[in-house]
Amino acid sequence: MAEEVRIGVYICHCGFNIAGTVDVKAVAEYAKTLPNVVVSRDYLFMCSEPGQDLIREDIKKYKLNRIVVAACSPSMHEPTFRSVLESAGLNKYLFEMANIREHCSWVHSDKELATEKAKDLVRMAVAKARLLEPLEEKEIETSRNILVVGGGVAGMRAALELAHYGFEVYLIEKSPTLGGKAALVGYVEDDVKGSEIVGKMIKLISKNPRIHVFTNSELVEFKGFPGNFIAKIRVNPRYVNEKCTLCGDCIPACPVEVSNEYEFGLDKRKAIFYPYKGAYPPYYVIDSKVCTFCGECVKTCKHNAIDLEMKPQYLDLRIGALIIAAGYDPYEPPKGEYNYGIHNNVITLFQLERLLDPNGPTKGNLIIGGKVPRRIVFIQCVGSRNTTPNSKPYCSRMCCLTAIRNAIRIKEMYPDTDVIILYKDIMTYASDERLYEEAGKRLVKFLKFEEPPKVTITEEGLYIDVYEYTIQDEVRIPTDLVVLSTGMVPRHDLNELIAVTRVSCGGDGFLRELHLKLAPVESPTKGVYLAGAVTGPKNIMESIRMGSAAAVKAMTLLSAGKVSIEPLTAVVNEEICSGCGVCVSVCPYEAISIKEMDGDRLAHVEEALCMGCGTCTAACPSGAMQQRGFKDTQIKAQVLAVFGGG
Amino acid sequence: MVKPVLVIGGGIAGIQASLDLAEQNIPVYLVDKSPSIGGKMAQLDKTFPTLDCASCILTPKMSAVLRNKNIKLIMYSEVQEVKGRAGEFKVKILKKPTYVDWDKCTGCGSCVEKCPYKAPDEFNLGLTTRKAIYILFPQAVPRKAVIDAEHCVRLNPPPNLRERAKGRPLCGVCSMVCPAKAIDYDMKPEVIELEVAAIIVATGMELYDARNIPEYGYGKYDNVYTHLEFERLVSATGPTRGEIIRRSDKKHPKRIAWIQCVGSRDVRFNHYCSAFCCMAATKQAILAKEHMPEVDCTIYYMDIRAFGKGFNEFVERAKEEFGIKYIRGRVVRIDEDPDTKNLILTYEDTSTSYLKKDEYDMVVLAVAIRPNRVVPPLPLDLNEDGFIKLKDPYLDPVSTTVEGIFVAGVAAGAKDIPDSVTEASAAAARAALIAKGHLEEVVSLADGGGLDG
Repeated sequence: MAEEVRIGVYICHCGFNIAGTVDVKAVAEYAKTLPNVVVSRDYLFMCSEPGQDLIREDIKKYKLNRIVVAACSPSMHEPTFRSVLESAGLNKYLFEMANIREHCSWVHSDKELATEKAKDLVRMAVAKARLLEPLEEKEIETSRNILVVGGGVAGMRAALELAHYGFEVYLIEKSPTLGGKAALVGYVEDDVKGSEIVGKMIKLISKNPRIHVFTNSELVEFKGFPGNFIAKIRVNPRYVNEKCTLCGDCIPACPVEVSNEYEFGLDKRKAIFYPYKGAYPPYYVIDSKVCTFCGECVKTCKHNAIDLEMKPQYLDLRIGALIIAAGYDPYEPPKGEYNYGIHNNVITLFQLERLLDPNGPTKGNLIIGGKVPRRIVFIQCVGSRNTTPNSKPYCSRMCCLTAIRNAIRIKEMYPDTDVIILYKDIMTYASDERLYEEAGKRLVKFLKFEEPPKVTITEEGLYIDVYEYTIQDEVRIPTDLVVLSTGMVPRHDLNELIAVTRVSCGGDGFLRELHLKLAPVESPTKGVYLAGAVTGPKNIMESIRMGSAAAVKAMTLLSAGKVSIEPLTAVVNEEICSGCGVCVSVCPYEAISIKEMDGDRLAHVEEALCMGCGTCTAACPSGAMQQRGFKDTQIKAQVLAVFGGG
Repeated sequence: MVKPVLVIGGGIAGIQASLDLAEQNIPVYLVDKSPSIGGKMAQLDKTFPTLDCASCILTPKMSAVLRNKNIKLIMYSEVQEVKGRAGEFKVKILKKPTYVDWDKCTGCGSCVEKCPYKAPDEFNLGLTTRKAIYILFPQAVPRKAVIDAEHCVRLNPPPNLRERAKGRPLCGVCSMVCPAKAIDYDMKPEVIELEVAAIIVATGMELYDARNIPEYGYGKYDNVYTHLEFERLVSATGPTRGEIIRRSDKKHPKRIAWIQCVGSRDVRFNHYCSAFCCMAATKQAILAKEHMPEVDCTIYYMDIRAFGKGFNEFVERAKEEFGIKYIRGRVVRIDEDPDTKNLILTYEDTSTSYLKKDEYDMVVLAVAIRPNRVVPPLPLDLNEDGFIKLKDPYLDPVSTTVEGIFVAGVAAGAKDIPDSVTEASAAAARAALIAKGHLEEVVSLADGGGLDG
């Protein structure tokens, strides 16, 4: 005989979040009238320690074998309450949650109706709870390989942490060199260059036998489950092998010249090129998008280092976790925005960094059109904070400080140059405020605008019109150089990565975290972690911290060598299955296959791959495919309950 | 062999660091000077920019700490001395007497109910009172009672009562009503000695004392509050159960002003920006509007620092959807109308350069934060703003100047919750390496392999 079902129901006040709109006492009283409910209570915070104790004690006292909590979303506290059941000796899947906060109190204002709806939701949960079955988790061994996508500071940092811990790390980078955008920053502090920070990290990576670097490479396939993902990497041909000595003889021979992206278009490079001094790996590369494959470079190369026949290589990896540190793109103003792209003396902040870098096209000298500019005007929030029609809504976080730092540097190098910063709000948060003070002391001038300034070209040169906020008047500023403080935008190719990895992005286009506040380096997919500016604007320091933080999450997942798999997966009733294969075609995770069993064709679910999405159970024409925890009978009971039939 | 790690401070940063370590089977000692973990975040009502209820997202983490067998909580305790070096620190911790045997206490609260003596409630920043024996807040972890010796008549009898008692012990109500027989009036301070491989400092912050800024009348005018006090006022678990009412007459304010950068970005007090107050004020103004749709909310600011993910969008929403006013200008002084207890703000509106006056029923000060004191007992260097100095902010942005001691959260500089959480995880990554015996690698990463650029 089946054991008697004894249900405990707990209604959470969530402070006033629920109790402000729902009469929680009335709901608790109502629950007592439902069949099989042995005890029903309400409490201020069910998730708190005393709230949990209440359930634990009742389980023992009333011999409860099903628990229903009516509170917030299960995505918030289902794990909390499941562990309460576990600690009281009950199978943790004998638990059902009714969401009377997001689905009720937060979206309704009429207390009476909201209370009635809460009762409906509780009745449905009780109806399902009656039919719940105990489920067992399976443990599966995990891989000790980790894939890091993106070779900027965040990705390199994550790779180093994990390699030191003992994991094998595959670090892939889409461009021909490690280093990312930080390598192109002139100075991050008085005496610290971006290229030095990157150079030190590259040196450590190149010496570490556990880090396997693949540049010119991208992730093209990604499937599996936490601890056991399968990743396919395409290594695009470099056309130059490790015999390259960086002699540079091929350069004069190459007839193709294009804009140099590593100098943000300030100079040109050839189709065969070395990205910049310190780039890693230290070999030339051919840009296949522009190369005509004329073969002139091959003729000049004394070292036999160039091979135009190179083909893409594919790499299949079994990995335990994935860290996405793909970075960002600098905002590129459309031609004509503030006269960018029309007048050579209108440049971006990224271009300014290159001009101030001793390894840059002007060897660190700020020379524009052959002279040191007598006046430089920075315009802030270019591409950010809805300043212009093309702008993003968010603040790009690092541009104020970068502009100020460079303004101070320019004042040091050229004391006679007048530096003006046009801004909306100065975002020098925390101790960076001191640089803002310092800039003031060095007579950098700050003018505040609300409406974007206008840059005009005349025969005599450039001038800027701005309506200055504090004097409430129009100001006209003639200038030699305009620096557009351009912000950060999501990578142009981020959607490709999203399609492959099935992570998601928010309204701003950057990758979305599991929780904005408390899980900033975790993606909604377990085993996939996020680091750096791929989730939104960050500075170098913040990106490096995220690299370490993402690494610790991977360590936590994989350090035990095994993970447990939630049993809420699809399961086939082999008696009914006709082997039609509809489920195979709809499964987004390639978890189902058709197998021959004693001459019968039967669907087979690979439980480790099944994510429990339920698509197959809905598609199955015979009802043979059922999902544990969401069986047809359980859902039917809920549906009947909502119409009063329960 | 895996060695333990000491985490100092049980706020969100300390909690996250402890969990990240414990979940990879590294033993953790988590020390907090208060009787519960949770830190400042536990005192917040909601969090920006998602308006998630702070308790709802924090309490699962607090419970997870309690459930985790690798974490040993050392509550109501302070680090006294740190000696030794990375891999083998020797730490002395002073455990203050709680006068309640926590092994026996069930947190039932009978003692709290019956205790006849009151004291200011520190969790509610003195906006209300608690008993001399108390549980810090309803969701406290661990949920255990503590006797506040200063306000307990038994432990600290006032001279007149002592005389009358003629040597007999006074009161003793809590001991009588405790069903678990957990009360121990003779408990003494205790020194705990530990050996740990690494230390994570997550000691967090306190508020700058707004009384040092006389022109705003905090502590003198009834209806001037700090932003943290306002959090308690607007919180469902706060002293007014979420009702925003004035200290002077218990009436709902019709006009509320927030003043930003109080003691921050001010060369007289603190140079730095406190980093989260612009968003906190925006959130509080939205909450005020949600509680009282007719209330008029104005924020006086210097720059609106909406630099984080979703922040600028949040400010736009505050303006457009909730009609919150932002005035760029420094408030010069606040005067109180002695009859109405209303507050008159004198300020320069920088959009007109005119000095103006405006009257409000309530004023909330975005008071600067200060790092909690850690030196001594910790042998760390501080930066010019008094926060813990980083060894190399770029190559190793969570390491202090002492090898094996890491820092997370506000102790290293003003920041918001997600940045504190990220730092905590980053610090845990570094500490985990030392705990697992990879000290050399930690050092090499910190100094770029000892090579020049």
